[in-house]
Amino acid sequence: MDPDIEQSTHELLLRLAGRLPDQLLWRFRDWLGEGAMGTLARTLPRSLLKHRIDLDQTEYRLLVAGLIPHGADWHQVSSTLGVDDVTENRYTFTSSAPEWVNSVDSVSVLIHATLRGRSDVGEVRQSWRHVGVVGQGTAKRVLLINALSGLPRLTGELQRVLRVLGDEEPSVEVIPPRFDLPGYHRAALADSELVCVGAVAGTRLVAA
Amino acid sequence: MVEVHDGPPMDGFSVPLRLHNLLLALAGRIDDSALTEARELIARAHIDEAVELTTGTLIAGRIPVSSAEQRELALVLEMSRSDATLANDLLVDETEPVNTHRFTGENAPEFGIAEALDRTLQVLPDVRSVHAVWRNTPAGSVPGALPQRVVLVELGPEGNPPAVAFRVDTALRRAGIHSVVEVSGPGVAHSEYHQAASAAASPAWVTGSTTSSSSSFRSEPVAKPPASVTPEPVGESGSRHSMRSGSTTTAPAEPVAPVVPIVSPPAAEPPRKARSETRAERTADLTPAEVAQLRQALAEDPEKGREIAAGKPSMHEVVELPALDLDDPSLSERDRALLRELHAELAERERAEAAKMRLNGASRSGGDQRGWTAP
Repeated sequence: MDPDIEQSTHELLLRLAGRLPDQLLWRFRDWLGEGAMGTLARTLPRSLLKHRIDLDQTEYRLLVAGLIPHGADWHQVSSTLGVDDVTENRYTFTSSAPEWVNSVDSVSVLIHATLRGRSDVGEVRQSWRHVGVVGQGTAKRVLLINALSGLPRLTGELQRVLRVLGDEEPSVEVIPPRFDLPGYHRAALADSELVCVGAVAGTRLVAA
Repeated sequence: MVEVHDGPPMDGFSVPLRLHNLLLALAGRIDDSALTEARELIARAHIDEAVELTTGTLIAGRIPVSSAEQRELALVLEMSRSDATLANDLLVDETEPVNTHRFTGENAPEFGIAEALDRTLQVLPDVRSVHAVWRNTPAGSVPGALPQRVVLVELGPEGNPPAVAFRVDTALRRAGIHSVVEVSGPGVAHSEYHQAASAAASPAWVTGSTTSSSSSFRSEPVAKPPASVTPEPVGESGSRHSMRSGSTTTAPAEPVAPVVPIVSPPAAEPPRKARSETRAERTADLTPAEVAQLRQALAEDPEKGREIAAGKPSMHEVVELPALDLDDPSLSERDRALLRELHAELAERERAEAAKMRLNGASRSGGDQRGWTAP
């Protein structure tokens, strides 16, 4: 697969965090990790339209670059370009685990065991996402990982691990270096805790 | 492009039902989340999204399908105005998929289901039986947590399988019971996966009139201790439908069928000796629930005891369960003789039913195991 095409689609799916429903987003990211570009090209633009998710110009360019070469319908793709500003992040984040997580957070421990010292991986952090007021309703774990290469594959791999551990719709944000973080990720990083650091020293996730 | 006009064997089924039956055939081969989401999408009239999710999951996971399944997917894609060329990317392999799944009825897979579905089963028409089983093996390329509870629902001709699958799943989720719900209507052969699941399944609920005659699943009531396996909370579980417009509430309506939970919620108690029995022993013998009912009936009215042994519909209540004890000093000689007689009658009935079920199973396994390809 063309790395530029893969990278474009990965960045687009990163930017859709918190906007596309979790159950679709993790699935599209899994398909990207498996290289199913033809499938994504035929389904992602339609999903964006059906869920009334408009793209800004940067996102639209990523969609065109990533999926038009794989047969995405031009009319559908064109219709995704919105005019109004993209809605800002509607979630709140906290760095501390909710009460239902045991004092030993086995998911966090497993991520630590898997990614600590791993090549091409920098900082690994996690945050807890809340809808509305913190403490009311349930919280969802969001993993934030800085990585240099193989981002879609790493995303898919970690999603599978989290699913086996009980998170049906995992939120795994594998962020490339020099990525202009959307509001969702900036807010998550601002209230996150360090899980571990990979082999890439000096690569840090920084909330603007 | 795939030829989609060559008259597949499901002509006559509506598009939603065709896709539902395809999903039944894919159970155990794709992940349970995809099955559940696709069924919800079918029930919500989003057939295009359901078939795209199904096809995409098969393609990305490189999960082989038969050419008949590929044709059927292409046809449903086309009929739902999706891109039928998506089916060209499917991995086609004519080798029959081997069911490698392991199921167990231990640890009370049916625990809490009858209560969680009480309202749902009163409202939805023609639900015949609900069974449950644990699956200990992963399904698909992106499996979820194990063990996975599989809930098997049998419908009569008035029931709508996709709608029931979605409503039952919703009610169970609301009660915190995580499961994948497989709903079979009449006229669809059971896949090897469903046969294996039903062979180990425990009954959670059956209609009073169809306790064992029309259900293809085993139906002997077995009281078990509650599950020792408690899946971890997932977090933000309520958000699954949060970005969809659909409401998950069921509309109130009058009951349309008698509601008879056969297994009352077991209280927290240590495992009974009965759990060490083999399934064959339990099938051929009186279960503790039946024994208790017999004993109570004998004490009150011997005629009622006969009714119970004959499996008549008055067998509605399940009571507290001591073990079968013919040496119980409170029984008279006449009671003991009657109990033995009833026991023999019941065993005979069980044997006859077991023979009938074996016959049904043989006729099913002789056909094409992929339900929707059967004529």
